[in-house]
Amino acid sequence: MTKQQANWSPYDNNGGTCVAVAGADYCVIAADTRMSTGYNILTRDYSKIIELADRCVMASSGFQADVRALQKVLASRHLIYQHQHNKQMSCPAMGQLLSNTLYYKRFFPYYSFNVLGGLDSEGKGCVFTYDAVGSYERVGYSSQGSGATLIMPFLDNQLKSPSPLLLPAKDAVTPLSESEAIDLVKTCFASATERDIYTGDKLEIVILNGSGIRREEMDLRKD
Amino acid sequence: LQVMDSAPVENSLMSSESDIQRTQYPYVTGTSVVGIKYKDGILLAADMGGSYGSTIRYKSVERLKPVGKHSLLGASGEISDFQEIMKYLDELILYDNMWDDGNSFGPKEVHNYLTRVMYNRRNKFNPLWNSLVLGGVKNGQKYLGSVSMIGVHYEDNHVATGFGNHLARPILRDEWHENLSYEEGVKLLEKCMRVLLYRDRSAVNKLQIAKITEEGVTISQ
Repeated sequence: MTKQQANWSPYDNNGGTCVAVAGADYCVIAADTRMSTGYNILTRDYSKIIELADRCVMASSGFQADVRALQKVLASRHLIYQHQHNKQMSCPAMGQLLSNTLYYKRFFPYYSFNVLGGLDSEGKGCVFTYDAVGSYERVGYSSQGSGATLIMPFLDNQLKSPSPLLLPAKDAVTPLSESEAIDLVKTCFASATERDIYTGDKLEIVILNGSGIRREEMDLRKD
Repeated sequence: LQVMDSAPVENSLMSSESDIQRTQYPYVTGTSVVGIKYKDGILLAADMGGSYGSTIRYKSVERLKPVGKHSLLGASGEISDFQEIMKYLDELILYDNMWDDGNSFGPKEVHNYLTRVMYNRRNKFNPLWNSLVLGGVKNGQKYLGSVSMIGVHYEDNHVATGFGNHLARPILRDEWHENLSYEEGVKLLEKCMRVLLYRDRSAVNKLQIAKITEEGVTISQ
């Protein structure tokens, strides 16, 4: 008798793409709002971005139920931190927490591909990029998700200065201005939408800078 | 609240790996549920069939049930798991009422609770084999959401499960608009259910249509 196979998978890929770009005194985090399963679209208006702290924003794509659970775990840990330390968590601290949280489930992973963006303790933009089990790196820009393979080379080309490809490793922020960075991100998504079926519908952008958090939206192709 | 596991499927030929696989099959299943927001609230529709594999064994299964004062739940998938979910929800609502604090769970809260239940069961590799549609109105706010058996959830102006996702959603994307009247909403749902009856082999021609508004729930057959 053959071994019984599982007839259901605990994972699903709900698609979507996330991007983050760090600047000298700002950080831009963006994600599309499409949620799919297989060849179907479940909804065109689901946010993948969450504000974890006042200087720290996370965007995640992958398996939505795991993403949501991860967001809740981080949000509650942050609340406990605030009770214990009477201050908000800094972005690098949240970066470490996210990595530890992901590795905690190393043997039944959160199927979640994250980019964490925010301002570090000096007010400079910072972006951390993760894989599903928590290995992470501080970079000047990153993309994750279904459209990442389309967007990442384009960002490497446009943002050579804070690139993780440069040796020796240079200061990880782009010299672009905030509005130029936002424009760049919009271009990324417009292009990724053309060729990636899981990316589209609407783009949600969150901009973090000294004055606080701002949101912008842009329509993307719905096909 | 204790979540009781059903007895694990024992098979001496299954090798035990680091994760004990609990394979499950749905036995008696319901097919699609379709839901839309309309001007005064939410409309849900589901047929009354319970299939046992390829035969249609039960033709009077109620797959739309009210939850508390403000919500309606529709389920497709394993009927027995749906009945267990109703037990959990009844307990949830009971405890909520026992607080007697003037507050009662709205659809958002119930949806969140269901999402957590479904997700935690899938974490234990023992899922409740259902796709749920949760709709309701509280304080004028309309809410319509969906949860799948692995915990994927979302909220939208129109949702559907199973075959409804393939056949009904496109119709709804084309013809749904804000402020549908009750009659228009029912007509739209009936159109979706008719298409499902034509093309879904597990659909039967007996329907439940449920309406929920600020005032309350009505379910008609």
